[in-house]
This record gives sequence, structure tokens and C-alpha cells, in this order.
Amino acid sequence: MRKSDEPPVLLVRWYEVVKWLLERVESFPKNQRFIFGQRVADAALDIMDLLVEAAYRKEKREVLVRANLRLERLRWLLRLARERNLLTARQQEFIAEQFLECGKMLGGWIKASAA
Amino acid sequence: MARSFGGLWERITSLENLFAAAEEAMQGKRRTGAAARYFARWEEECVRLRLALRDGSWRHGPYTYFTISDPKERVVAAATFRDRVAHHALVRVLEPLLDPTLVEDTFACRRGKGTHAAMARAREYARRYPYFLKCDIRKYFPSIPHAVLAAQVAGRVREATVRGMIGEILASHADAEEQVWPGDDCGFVNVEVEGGEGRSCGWFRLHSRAEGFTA
Repeated sequence: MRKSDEPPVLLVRWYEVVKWLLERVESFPKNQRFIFGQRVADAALDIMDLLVEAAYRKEKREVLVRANLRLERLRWLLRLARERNLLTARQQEFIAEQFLECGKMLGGWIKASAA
Repeated sequence: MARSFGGLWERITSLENLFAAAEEAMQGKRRTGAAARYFARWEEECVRLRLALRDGSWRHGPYTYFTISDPKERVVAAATFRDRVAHHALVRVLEPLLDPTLVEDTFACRRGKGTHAAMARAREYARRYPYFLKCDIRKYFPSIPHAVLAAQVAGRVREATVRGMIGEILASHADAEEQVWPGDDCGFVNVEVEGGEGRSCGWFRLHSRAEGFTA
């Protein structure tokens, strides 16, 4: 079991992903940055908020499920970004792997908090 | 000796190639069943496929068999969607290398070829020569011996990883079609044609069990 005073690995991990995503959004072309980019950034930050909340809360499950839903929404946003060539091949590769791993960890956390 | 190629595995298993392969496999089918389900998990599936390919755990799945009767009766083997993505990933890299090495007069499964181009070519030849041979190799594709094909592939592809993937796909399906020609002892058919404009002579190796299959 995870000690309650230690920030979950997923949160730290996601923090890095958010940092990376915000940098990418900044380099979106101007016409994409404010509408599309804004939503990507918002979704990523929302997930971080939810993860922080979950880390310091007894009843985690509901918050984590919401985070999972946000993650799925973000996946679709980034799929669009990829198909519209807002990300380079290397960037797509990196973010796809990050999402897969974070998704797995989040799924695991949800399961662990179900009991 | 034909050129052989290396450095293909890296290209085949790159996520960029897999994304594009998935896109090709979904071409025109995004709104339907299997492709739509795959679409919703696109990136995840591609990352998983890459991991499986790279650590050697990738296995080809089973086929769904069904029969069509137009234009003629034949059994179609449909692979699962994720296998089709793997096929595209392989072909995306191999096709541009191998296709130019094929003789110009082969028309099946090639870009810019097909039945109509084949007919145009046949017409052209029919006008040029006074005689022609009409022949069909019965169940040609199902009767290609896999061992011989694998050996020919090995001559063109250096990496064991790529050969392994091709081998896995080949092994996923086998038709027990064999070309047996009664009375065939030399494996060669000598076709001599004497026409109005002189004499043309050609050796056609149609079948040779001793030496394997070369067309």
C-alpha cells in the first residue's frame, strides 16, 4: 500500500507530461493555439488538479474516475492534433507512450481504491 | 544477385510507420465496426503493437473465412484488424523496395496495375505477335510453396527480425495446394514458335519440383 504522505508516482509523472504539453501548445500555430491549444492545456491541467485532489483525499475513487474520463477526452484532442500535424512524429511517439503508461497507472489506482 | 536491404526493422516498427499503417488499414472504413473500434484506441494499439513486435512476442491471429462467388467462387481469409495494421506496416516499408524489382508484366496486387492494365498489355502483345499462348496456373497463389518463398525473401531482406515477422505472417495461413503435373520429369517446357517474321524460341520453366519454384 502507498504511504499517504508520499505523492503518488502518477502525479509526479503527469506533472512532467503537463509541463511538456504546455510547451507544445505554445508552439502551435497562432490560429490553433487559442482555441484548440487552450482546450488541450485545460484538459491536462484539470487532470493534474484531480490527481492532486485524489492524492490528499480519503475517498479517491470518484475523483480518479473523473480524471480517467478527462484523460480519455484529452486522448481524442491529441488524436486530432496528430492528424492535423500539430505534433511532429517524435512528439506523437513520446506522448502516445506517456498516455499509455499514465492510463495504466490510473487504471491501477482506480482498482486499488475500489476496495 | 538482387540487392538485399537492411535497416528495415527500425522503420517498420517506428511509431510513425505504425500510425500511418493504421490509417491505411482504416482507409474508408472508419465508420464501420472493427475500424471504428480501433480508431478509438489508435495510439494505444500502435504503442502495444510496437512493443510486441520489438520484444518478439507478436503473434499473428486467426482468420475469418468466408466464401464469395463474384467474380468466381473463392474463399476469402479476413485477418483481424490489428493484424491488418501489422500487414500494412510491413508493406509500407517493403513495397517501395521490392515492387520496382518485379517484372513489368506482373499485374496482381500492384499499384497502377490490375486487371485492366493487364488486358491492355495483353492486347498490345496480341497485336505484335502472330501467336500467343493462353494458359493459367491453377490456384497459383495458394500453391506457392512457403519454404521457397521464405528462401527468396531471405535473399532480399537481411534482418532476422523482419524475416521472422514475414515468416509469422506466412505461417498464419496455409493452403494445401500443390502443383503436380503428371509426366513432368524435367520441369521445363520448350516452346518453339515459327511465325511469319522468323523464329522465336523461348524456354519456359513452368514447374520444377526438384529445384523449387521460380517463375
